[in-house]
Amino acid sequence: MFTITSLLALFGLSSAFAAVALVFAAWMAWRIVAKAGLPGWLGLIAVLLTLTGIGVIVPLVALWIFAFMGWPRDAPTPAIAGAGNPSAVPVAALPPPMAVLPDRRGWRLSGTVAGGSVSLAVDGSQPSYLLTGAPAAAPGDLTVPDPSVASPHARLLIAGARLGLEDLGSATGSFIDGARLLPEHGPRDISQARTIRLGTVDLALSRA
Amino acid sequence: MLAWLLNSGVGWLLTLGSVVLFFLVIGHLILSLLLVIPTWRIFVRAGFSGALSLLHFVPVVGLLVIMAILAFSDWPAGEAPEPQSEARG
Repeated sequence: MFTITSLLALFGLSSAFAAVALVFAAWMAWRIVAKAGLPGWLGLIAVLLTLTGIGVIVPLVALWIFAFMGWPRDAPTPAIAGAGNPSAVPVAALPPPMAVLPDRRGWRLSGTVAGGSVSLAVDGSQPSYLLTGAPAAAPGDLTVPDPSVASPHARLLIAGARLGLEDLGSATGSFIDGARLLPEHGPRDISQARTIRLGTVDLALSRA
Repeated sequence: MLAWLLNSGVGWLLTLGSVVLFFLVIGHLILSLLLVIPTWRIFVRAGFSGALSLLHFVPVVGLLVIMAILAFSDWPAGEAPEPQSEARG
């Protein structure tokens, strides 16, 4: 009698362990499949199939298929214009600025804003400048006092004798010689450009 | 000692046990190999070392450990966004 009781207890314990392990495995399979971008219930079903008469064959085949199939996670995601996730878009940065500009002349941006005219000197003392509609708060801030200019609106980058412009996701947009510059474009060389437009403000680019 | 065991009444039992154990080990190795290959690829695609799939050779708990690693750790190679987070925007 004791032996039968012991066997039943052992069987019950083993069954309990198997049941817990099965539920746990199903939960983990759900998570793994979901991390790959597939519906989680596919993993759940694959594990629960071990309860059926087909045993481990189907889950084993499913594992091989899962390992070698294309995962939705790896599918390329189209870039969304103006999306608030700039880290998802690779940005081609300009080369690091040189310590001394080969051409000591700076740049000048001049144009007309709502309240008059504006003339901005880009002398190369900073590696980058922030074009903003708000009053300058830092040495690298260049103010374009116009309602159509965001705060901040765009960034000017100096790399050697070249000048770059990067839009920072402004709603009114930045333009290089009439061509729209989107945030996902990253910094673009404007050394040869004639005018850039921030919102509705046209700024002529010249060497100082 | 061995000769006595083989000539005694339990000799056949030892032989049977050895054969069963042999086939259990061989079966485990074959099944592990069938599991290691795809799991190696899954680990690599997830950004982990493929050698982690060798845990399949650990009986009983090896599979559970592998699944736990894949299920509860952040994949270095990136994961698909969760539907809930997408819905939240």
